[in-house]
Amino acid sequence: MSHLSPERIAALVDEPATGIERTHFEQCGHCRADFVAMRRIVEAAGLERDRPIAPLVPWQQLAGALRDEGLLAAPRTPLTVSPPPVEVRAITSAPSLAPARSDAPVHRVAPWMRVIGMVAAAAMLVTSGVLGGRMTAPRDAAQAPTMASPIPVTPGIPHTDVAQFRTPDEARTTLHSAEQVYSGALLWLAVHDSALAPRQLTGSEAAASNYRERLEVLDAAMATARRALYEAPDDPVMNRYYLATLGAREVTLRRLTTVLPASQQVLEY
Amino acid sequence: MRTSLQLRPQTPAPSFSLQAPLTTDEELIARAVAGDELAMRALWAEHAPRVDAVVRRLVHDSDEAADIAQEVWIQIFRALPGFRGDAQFSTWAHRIAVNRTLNAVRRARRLTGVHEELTENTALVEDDVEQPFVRASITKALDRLPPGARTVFVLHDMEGFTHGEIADQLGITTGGSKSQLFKARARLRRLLAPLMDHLTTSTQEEGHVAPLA
Repeated sequence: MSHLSPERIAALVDEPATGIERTHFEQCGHCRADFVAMRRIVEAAGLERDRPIAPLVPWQQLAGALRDEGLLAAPRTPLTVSPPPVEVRAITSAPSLAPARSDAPVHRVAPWMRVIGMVAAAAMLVTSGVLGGRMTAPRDAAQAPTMASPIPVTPGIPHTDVAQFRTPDEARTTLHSAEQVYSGALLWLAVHDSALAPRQLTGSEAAASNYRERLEVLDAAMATARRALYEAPDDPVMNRYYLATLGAREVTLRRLTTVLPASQQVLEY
Repeated sequence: MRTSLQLRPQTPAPSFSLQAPLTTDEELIARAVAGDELAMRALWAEHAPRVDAVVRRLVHDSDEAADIAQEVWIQIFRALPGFRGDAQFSTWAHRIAVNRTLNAVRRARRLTGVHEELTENTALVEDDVEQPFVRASITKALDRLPPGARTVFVLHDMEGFTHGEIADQLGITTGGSKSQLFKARARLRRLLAPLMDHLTTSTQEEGHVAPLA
């Protein structure tokens, strides 16, 4: 008894079998098993449609291409920056960074909510930074860097004093430049820093565990930032915080995908 | 095996809680059309995992896939002002991704091999019964298909295109589309033989042999 060709069996997943073929299937366990296997493959392939992957291109690269195409404005000023609300300036005693504008958007958010948002953002920033750092740091405490302050002064890198800024635009420009450098350095480290490579850790499982823990922290931070942005979409602190967290999350996710065993994939995140 | 990155209960809760809904696609699109980078990035972050997955499935080479994914997103943002909301943004972006990728693949003359012979007959996977592993194995096995057969298989069995749509997209006949699909399935069947035979045997032993269509 000759078997049906594999191509014909593949076609029968979509097309009805002829009478002769039905008779053959009743008598031939080999072809019947082939058909069942073929249909399983097609069903599984259909489920693959909704499986996400990590983005193939980092945002910084895509944003550069979008700017080249004229689809995104050049980053002359930080995103959606507007003068801090009067209430916040008064409470935090911060110097006025910009003159009040009559056309500035009015947000119907209670002042206490803004303050809480700012405080929460600062708290989350410090918390996630410390937690994320601890989670990705070597287990040996002797190797871990000591962080005496949330804003450490790095030897060899000049510390910019607030008094150096003469205008709000100057401060914003510096801030934006620092932001670009920060994002670029983050991505560069993700690709090139051998000290962070998984082989330096105890194993791929340990590395994956570290990245998962960091992703959890970053997810919590992003959720908080998004809620705050919904209430205060022009808040420059939250905008930058959200973008920085998003960048860190992308980098962490990319790293996670490189250390997972072949039998594991990131299906949800 | 499934890796789900859910927040653990012991994760420190945010110190304040606003119950407002998250920003919708419509709001993000309106802001993105106005040139808001944050909104554009948010749209990309939300949809890139699935849009880029389409590109990756259709293109074997990872570097080339990254280049095409960038082209796709440029096209999406270029066309965004014309998005009228007749379909979901994800559906609209998905369609752009397919069209743009196929154009890029054609440009690279990858479809010249659409009629090439299927040859290798090598087992690809280890014995395993988990469905996610089957799906992952299929994804890996796709890399072993000739470009033309791979494209037709992805479009039909994964993306849900009809043979008529595939024929229009690729400039081939519907018969040619069917022929490539069936060859691709047969090739995948051979590549995944150890895994699928185990599953089929298990099913037969349990008395669940599926009837013919």
